[in-house]
This record gives sequence, C-alpha cells and structure tokens, in this order.
Amino acid sequence: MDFVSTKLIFSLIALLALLGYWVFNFIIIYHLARFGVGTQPKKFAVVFLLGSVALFFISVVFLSNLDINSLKNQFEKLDNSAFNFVYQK
Amino acid sequence: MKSLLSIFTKSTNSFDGEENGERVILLLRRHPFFIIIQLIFLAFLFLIPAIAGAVFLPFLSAHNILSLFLFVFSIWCLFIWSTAFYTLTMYTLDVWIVTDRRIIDSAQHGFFSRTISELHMSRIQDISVQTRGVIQTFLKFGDLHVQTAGTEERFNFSQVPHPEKVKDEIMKLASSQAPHL
Repeated sequence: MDFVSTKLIFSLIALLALLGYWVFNFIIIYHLARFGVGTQPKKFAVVFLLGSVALFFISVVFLSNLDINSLKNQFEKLDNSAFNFVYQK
Repeated sequence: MKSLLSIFTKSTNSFDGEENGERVILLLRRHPFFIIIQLIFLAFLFLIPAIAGAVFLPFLSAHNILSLFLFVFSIWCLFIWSTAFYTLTMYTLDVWIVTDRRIIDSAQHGFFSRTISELHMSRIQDISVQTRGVIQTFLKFGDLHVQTAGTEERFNFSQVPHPEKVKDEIMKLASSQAPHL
C-alpha cells in the first residue's frame, strides 16, 4: 500500500513536470515563431523543437531503465553504511 | 513544401503593425557578445555534472546508481536546453527596426510582456554614439541615443554593433525625410 501511494505520488509529480516542461517549450516556440522578425527566430524555433524532442526521448529511455526497487535497496545500504561509519568513529 | 521551407531562408523582415509599402532598412539586436557570455555560463552548468559523472563513474557503477545518475543528468540537460533557448528568445525578440519611415523599438521583458515604441524619421533632431570601455571599443559596439524634437525622452539603442554605421544610415534616412537637416 505504501509502495503504491509512493508510486502514485511519483507519477503525479512526473506528469505535472512533463506538462509544465512542454507548456514552457510551447511558449518559447510560439514567441519565436509569432513575434520573431526575420529568419533567425524561426531557425532557433526549429532547432529548439528538434533538440527538445530528442532530449525528452533520451530522458524517457533513462527513466524506463530505472529500477525503483533496486534503487531503494541501494539507498538503504548506502544509508546504513553511512550510519555505521558515524558510529565507528 | 518548398515555399513553406523558404521561411527559414528568405525574409522580408515583416513585423506586426507594418505599413503598406514600408521597407525595413536595418534590423538591429544587441551585440552577440552578451548572448555568448550567457551561453558559455550555461555550457559550464552543463559540464559540471558531466565531469562529476565521469570522475565518480566507478563509484556510481559499484553502487548500481549509474542509471539514476544518467536519468537525473538527462533532466538537467533538458533544463539547460530550455534555459538556453529562453535566453536566446529574449535576445532575439529584443530588436530595433529601422524602416524608411520610422524607428521601432521592441523590448521583450519576458513571456507575453513587450514594450513597443516608435519614432518617425521626420522627428529626429540629433543622434549621438557612446562607446564605453575596452570591450565595447574592441568588439565595435556601443549605445546610440536619438534625440527628438521637444522635451521628449531620448530613444536609446543599447549595445548595438557598429553604432557609427547605424547612425550614418539613420541620419541619411532622416535627411531624406526632412530636407532642412
């Protein structure tokens, strides 16, 4: 139950961050295409869009490679070792 | 398709509020030095975690947190990328347009926040150029102040490249509009 709620909160935060990120990107592209004078802003908009999509998919790939359970165990181990280290001193 | 792609190569430099038959003579932005400085700073922000990751790679691999590091680093890259283009957007949209009839100052203060002021060529009385310091002298940029008739405030072009040439061009256009100058 605890894990489910953690996962739900994580998913909600990720979804909100995703939404915020693409709204922000849309506003940048809108400004460059709508208010830009000359060809330079349009070129910037295209480069920005392509780069954003590429980086976004790279992030999704890295996110899908994450194993939350394994990470949780690793952090518990790291936390315990740090705790022991303090006591040994 | 070809005509659609031509927006990236050909431009009449059209802008909001352009009058019929109006011709854009100069399209000015601040000197690229200012945007380059900001982009170099962002490049450093990108490099810091990249170098840290390379240095601590054995530690990250040994503790099986390399995948987490790569994910966080990719998010950091997204943040840097968006910040860089936000900076570029503000730089690109901050323009001075000199047409054959008027000067338009379009100042971008952030998203959906702009100030547009214009000055008709016939009202120009005096133009002064100010170059301050070593960087401005060597990189050939400076401020241009356009004085209008009466007690109105001056029209300022900040840190534009080759301000003397811009001044000459504006004076030429102003003279053609007002023969008494």
